[in-house]
Formats: sequence, C-alpha cells, structure tokens
Amino acid sequence: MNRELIYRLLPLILLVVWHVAAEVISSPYIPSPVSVALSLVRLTLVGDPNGYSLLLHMAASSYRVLLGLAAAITSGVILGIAMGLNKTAMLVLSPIIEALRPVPPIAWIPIVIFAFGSGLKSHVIMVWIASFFPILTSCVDGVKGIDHAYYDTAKLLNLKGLRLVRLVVLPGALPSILTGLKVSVGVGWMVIIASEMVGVRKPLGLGFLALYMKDLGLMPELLATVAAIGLSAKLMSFAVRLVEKRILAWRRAPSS
Amino acid sequence: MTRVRILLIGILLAAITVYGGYYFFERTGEAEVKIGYLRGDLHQLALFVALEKGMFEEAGIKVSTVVYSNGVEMMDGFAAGEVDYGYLGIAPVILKSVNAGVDVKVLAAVNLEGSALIGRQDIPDLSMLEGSTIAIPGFGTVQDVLLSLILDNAGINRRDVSIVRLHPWDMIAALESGSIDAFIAWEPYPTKALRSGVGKPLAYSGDVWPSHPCCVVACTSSFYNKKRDLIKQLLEVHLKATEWIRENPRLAAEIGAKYTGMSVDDVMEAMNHIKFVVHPNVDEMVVYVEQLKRLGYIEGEASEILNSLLDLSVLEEVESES
Repeated sequence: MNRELIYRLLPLILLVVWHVAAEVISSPYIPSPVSVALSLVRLTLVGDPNGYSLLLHMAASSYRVLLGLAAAITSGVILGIAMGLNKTAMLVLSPIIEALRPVPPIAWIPIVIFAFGSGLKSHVIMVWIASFFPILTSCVDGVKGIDHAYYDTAKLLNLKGLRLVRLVVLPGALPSILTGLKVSVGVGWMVIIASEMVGVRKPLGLGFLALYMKDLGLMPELLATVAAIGLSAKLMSFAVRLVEKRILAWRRAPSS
Repeated sequence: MTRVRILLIGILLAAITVYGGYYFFERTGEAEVKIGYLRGDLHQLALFVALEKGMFEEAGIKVSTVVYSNGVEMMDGFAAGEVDYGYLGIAPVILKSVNAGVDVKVLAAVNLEGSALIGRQDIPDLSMLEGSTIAIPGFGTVQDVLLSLILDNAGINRRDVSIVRLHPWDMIAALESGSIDAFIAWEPYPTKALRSGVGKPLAYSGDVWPSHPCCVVACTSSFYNKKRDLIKQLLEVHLKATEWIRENPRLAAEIGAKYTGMSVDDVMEAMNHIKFVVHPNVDEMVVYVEQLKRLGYIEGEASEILNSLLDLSVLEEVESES
C-alpha cells in the first residue's frame, strides 16, 4: 500500500483504534471520540452549567495570554536590545536573569496569587513571567547576531539612538525575536491553564473549565476542553507564523 | 569487559535509585485499610479522634490515611484505588457515582449541618450578593449545593453571581484581600473568618436547612464485598469516636485544633454549628439529588440513585449491638 497514504490515514486509524478501545473497555474514564465530539458541539452551542459557551472560555484564556504576551514582548525586546547593545547593561542584568530563568514559571503561581489575588492581574503576570525569558534571550541573541557591516553603514549615515534601533537593530533582531515569540506562545498557554486552574475571578477560562468538568466527573466534556486548549494554542501559533511571514517577507530571496 | 561492567553498574545504580525513590517518597506501608479524609474539615472530627486516641489500634486495625482537598477529589481517589474507605460530603458521592460510575457504598453519617456563607464586612445581607464573586471548595460539593439553596431562598439567580473554586484554607485570605466577596466552606473556616474580623456571617447552613446531611462514611463496593467484617469494626470505631466527641467536647476540640491548624477556642466555637451523628438523614438526601439535577450536574431518579448508594445494614448491626 502507498506509504504516503498510510501516513495521511494515520490520524483516522488512531481515531478508530480509540473508538474500539473505548467500546471494549467501556469505562466512564475513557469516552469514545464520538462522545467527545458531541460534547465539543454541546459545550459550544449550549455551554457549561453556568451557560457560558466553550467559545467564551477560549476567548477569555486567549485574551489573558495575549495581554501577557504583549507585556513580555514589550519588556523582553526593550531589555534585550539594551543588553545586546550595552556591555554594562549585560554585566548588571545577566546574573539576575540567569538566576531567575531556571525557575519553572508554574512555581511562581502561589506567590503571584498570594500577592495579586486570582484575577486578570495574576494571569497576565504569570503569562508575562513565562513568556519574558524566551523573548529576552532570543532578542539578545538576535541583536548580537547582526552583521557588523550594518553598524558600520549606520555609522556612516550618522544613525544613532532610537533611529539606529528602529532602522537597524530591530529589523536585524526581528527573526530571532519572532522565534522566541513562537516558544513564548506555547509556554504562555501552559501557564495560563495552570493559573486558571488555581483560581479565576469570574468562572471563565479553559483551565477553569477543565477543572470544572473534572469536578463534575464529565470526561467527554473534559477531553473536549483539552481539545479546545490545543486548538486555541495552535491558532495563536499559526497567527504568529502568519505575522512572521508578512513582516519578514523582505528576507525571502527574489525569484530568478 | 570494562564497558559491560560500566553498563551493569549503571543498571544497578538505576535500579537502586528507582526502588529507593519509590520506597522513600511513595510507599505508604502495609495497611489493612486506606482511609481518606478532607484537609482541615472539622466535620470529620470523629476520624481525627479515632486516630489520636488509638481507637483503630485498640480494635486491631492497621490504617493509613490519605488527605484530599475536597470530596470530589476523594471520589477520584476511590476510582483510582488510592483509598478504600473515606469521610466526605454526600453531594460528591452522588455526583461522581452517577456521572463517572465510581462504585461506592454509603455506610453511615458523619455530621449534620456545619457550613456557613461568610461575606465581606460591608455586605449587609444576602440581597447584596447579586453581581458578587463567591468561592466554593469545588463544584458538586455539599457547599456548592448549599450555596444554590441559599441563593434560591434569597431570590438571587445563580447566574447573577460569579462562582469560583478555592481551597477553604485560601478563602479567608482571598476575602481579606477583596479577591472574593463571600465564601461558603465547612467549619472551622467560617468561624475563623468571623473571629479574626475578616468577614461576617450571611447564612449558616443549619438555619437555611435544619439538620441537613453533610459528610458521610463511604467505601468502595469492592472493599465492601471483600471486607464486611472489617467494615463492621471500622463503623464500631466511628460510633465510639462520635460518642467520645459528645462526652469530651473540649478534648475533642484540642484534637480538632491539631488537624485544622486553628486555635482550640476557634474550634470549640465552630463545633457549636456541627451536629456529630452516625445515623444518616436519608429523606433529606433526596434534596441533594434534586439540587444536583437542578444545577444541571446529573440526571436520574433520586430513589434509584440513593438505593444503589446507601447500605446501612452494617451500621444497623453495630448500633443494635452497642
């Protein structure tokens, strides 16, 4: 049989295996893909017992991640450029960054919740903590990786300060920054789900919904929520790739 | 040969690490019964008394304990085989047995009443709760159901409040910081909030629904089928511990203080809102089923659900012999 056909059919084969296993084992803890799909539709159209649609939960979590990412991009790029261009900034900040970076983001959750409660502030701070370091390190690497010929040209054209940053440093470091952003999106989603599981101010968010469904013992709905989490993270990563394609169009070699 | 030796030493070290790690970090020892209870829940004082006064050892039973954050998680523990026998709320027992097919038997009652809705000091009464954020220990818990009843009585639609999930031990700090406007929890957390001036009582569960069932003793059906004699001994201990609480409230409060991390005075005050019993109020349990259905959590016929869950035969044997 054509190998490529098998690879394309593999997801379908796995679904069939899952369905058969669910039917054979017949346990509430292993729902069939059909019941999960139906739950996905039901959660979207009818909503959870509070009446909130799955789409609203996806929007709430995405909103929190986006705010956290915005904070991480702003602070990460500013600090990254400063550390990349200035030796003193690098000397002063590097030991602090290296001390904090290895701490798993999730370890900060109890401290953040204790200090800021379980509302939007905490969620945004958590995503910021998780996303900041990948963006910072990739920005520093990007700035340091800019060909010195560009700096020499900039010197000749008397480009200094913010103009230098805007016309040389930022475009030069952008590919690296966007690579860091792609990593940050994944980490940000991991953290927001954990943060929402610990506490939310309003009963909205995919992490909250997952725990809610788990508490009620509704496994198909729980798996549907997990699928929604994967879909939301995937959509955001896809959006970043689209932005990357657009912004970095100038990097593509012209066709002959 | 050297490479083979290194490989063998590596395998040996790996085996020692894996087994050693399991032995020190995971093993709970050889116990006849693994008993679950809820962290900081004064309703389960009978179990704490039995453990502290050596009543299980006296009966010749070797026990180990497993602590959970709420009854819903303990039901997951039953399903996973982590625990055989436990003290938990009747609402999660009903919820998870219906939705997740967790096969348990309810053997006896542990307490009636004993929860309270506590609000910020500036909330004058229940009517001001519309639009507020209220914390519960978990969805499908006794407190979740009680909150629904309290809101119904106050004429507030549940959709007009935000209900969030917090551990009871986080609720007092959350109320103090303004993250939430009210919480409903099991004693002694409400009493602690009142006595530390953080909140005020908006409703005691015993006033809203007098003598309502709360915690029960339950075990897995497989444990019940295999160890009926042991269950009889466990329920004898439960009966003895419950009577001891009634006869020695101050000493029981000292034990309660140890398990809840609160002062003895706080615990003594909290005990005034709890009725420690062994015989369940079966008729009132129907209200839990109806409320869980109203909340959209479960479906099914109340009598059918309760008949499949309740088995008081061992308790009746113990009570007739005592």
